[in-house]
Amino acid sequence: MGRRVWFREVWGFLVRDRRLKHGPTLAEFWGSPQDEEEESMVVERLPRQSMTAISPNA
Amino acid sequence: MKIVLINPPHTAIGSRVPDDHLPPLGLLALGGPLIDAGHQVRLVDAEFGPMALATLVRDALSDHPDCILIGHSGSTSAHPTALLIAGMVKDIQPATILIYGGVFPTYHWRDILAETNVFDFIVRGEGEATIVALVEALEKRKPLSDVAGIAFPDDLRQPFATRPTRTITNLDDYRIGWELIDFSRYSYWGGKRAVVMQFSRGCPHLCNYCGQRGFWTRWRHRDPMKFAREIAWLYREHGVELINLADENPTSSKKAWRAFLDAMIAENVPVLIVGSTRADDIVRDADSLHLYRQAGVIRWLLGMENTDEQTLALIRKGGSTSSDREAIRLLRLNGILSMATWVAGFEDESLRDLWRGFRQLIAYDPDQIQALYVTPHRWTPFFRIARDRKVIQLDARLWDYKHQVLQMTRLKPWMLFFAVKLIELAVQSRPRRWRVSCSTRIRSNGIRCAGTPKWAAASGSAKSGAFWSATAA
Ligand code: SF4
Repeated sequence: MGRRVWFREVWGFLVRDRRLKHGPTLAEFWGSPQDEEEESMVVERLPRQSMTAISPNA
Repeated sequence: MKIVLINPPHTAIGSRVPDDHLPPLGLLALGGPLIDAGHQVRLVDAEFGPMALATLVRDALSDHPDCILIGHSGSTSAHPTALLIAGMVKDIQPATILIYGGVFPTYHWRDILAETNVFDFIVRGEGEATIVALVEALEKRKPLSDVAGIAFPDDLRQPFATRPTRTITNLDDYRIGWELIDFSRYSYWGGKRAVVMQFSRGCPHLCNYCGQRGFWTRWRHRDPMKFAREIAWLYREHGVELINLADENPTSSKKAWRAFLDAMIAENVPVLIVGSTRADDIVRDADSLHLYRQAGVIRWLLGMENTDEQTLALIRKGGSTSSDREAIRLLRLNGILSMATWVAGFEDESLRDLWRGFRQLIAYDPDQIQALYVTPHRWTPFFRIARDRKVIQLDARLWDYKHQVLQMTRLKPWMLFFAVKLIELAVQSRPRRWRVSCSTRIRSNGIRCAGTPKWAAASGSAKSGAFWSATAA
């Protein structure tokens, strides 16, 4: 971010962006928590390969 | 099929102001497999300009495509724009099939399909295999319920999702559709020809606010040799000078990362690499950081998020303030710039906490900082912790990490905003930073310091994935 961005952000805060004093709760705004669905895919398990193994910190 | 990929214009401040633009890796990653499957694919990148939506839609529909794919790396804040574009497309050519993908729609598919009928399909999770299967099913009129990883309105117009797709085991099975871009239009780091790539996907750590880790589900990496070869090819064939790694955590495997560094050094191409990683990995690799530099790494973004041990525990960051500080010191020793992300807006934060944070940032002495605001995503455990906090920003376009979105108990928005701006100003303009940053850049990169160093250069743009899933979620 350069100086231009810094000034644009200050201008945006003062002039453009609107904020609410009494807004909804986070859960009312986006919906109920969904962390039980956090993993979006199922893991494909293949025999371990030398370099494309799924385990980090090898 | 005739397919158009649309990269919507992003409203985030970081995307709007800088002159540099990076290619939309996520869309190119779909383009390659679609081309290989025999489809005619074209990219409309509306980040340039940015393009007016009417112009964008006219361009996208100019050759009457069968399908339009929309996706953006800043998927939460780009969602309202994606919705507008889809609506405009459907108004003009209702028969065009609209497919939407990315992190935000992967999780919010029920609400999106319930609230609007402009999207025909949502791709959930990694898209490479799914999009090819979906387009083939559409073309050959196969049953759509057999395609894993998609959601669509069923016959009763109710949102319906098929079984989740599988993670791609070998990331090298799919190629990036580089032929879809004109390389000369994309740059970073002050005009250097640049592209975004991923050595790995996902992250093995468990930070409870992270919107990225779950999306990719498991950490996997590309073949280090093939990855280095592709970078060298991009340099030799297309003049690419800089690679912006979009990985959440490319250094997770010491062995694989070391193999990549060795392969890059052997390729002997003067390509620069910027990316983000964890401070712990830098400390772990203290004895091989000179190889990072030799391989072309010039800047790491370190997601330290906060300088307070209690807050780090709350967000289960798993790092420590001592490793953060040590990582910055080691990077500097090896001629690599550090950019520290720092997150403000925790519920009970006070001016005293911000003052303490500021003093610690000064003590850490990073070359650059990037201040962000707490921005919880519904699919993360942190959302559950924060679920009862009040939202002060209803415009989803401003959920871009650069705007405060949640109320705090002790600070009014103006107090937090000006405290953060002052901290940015004070940290970025301290004389020591100018001296160190400029001399590091001149000495190690041969890059002339233009007098005004770039601040958090990647904010809101196609990169900066790891912290708070900054742009990808
Ligand atoms: S925030 Fe970074 S380190 Fe933590 S889980 Fe996400 S990608 Fe990994």
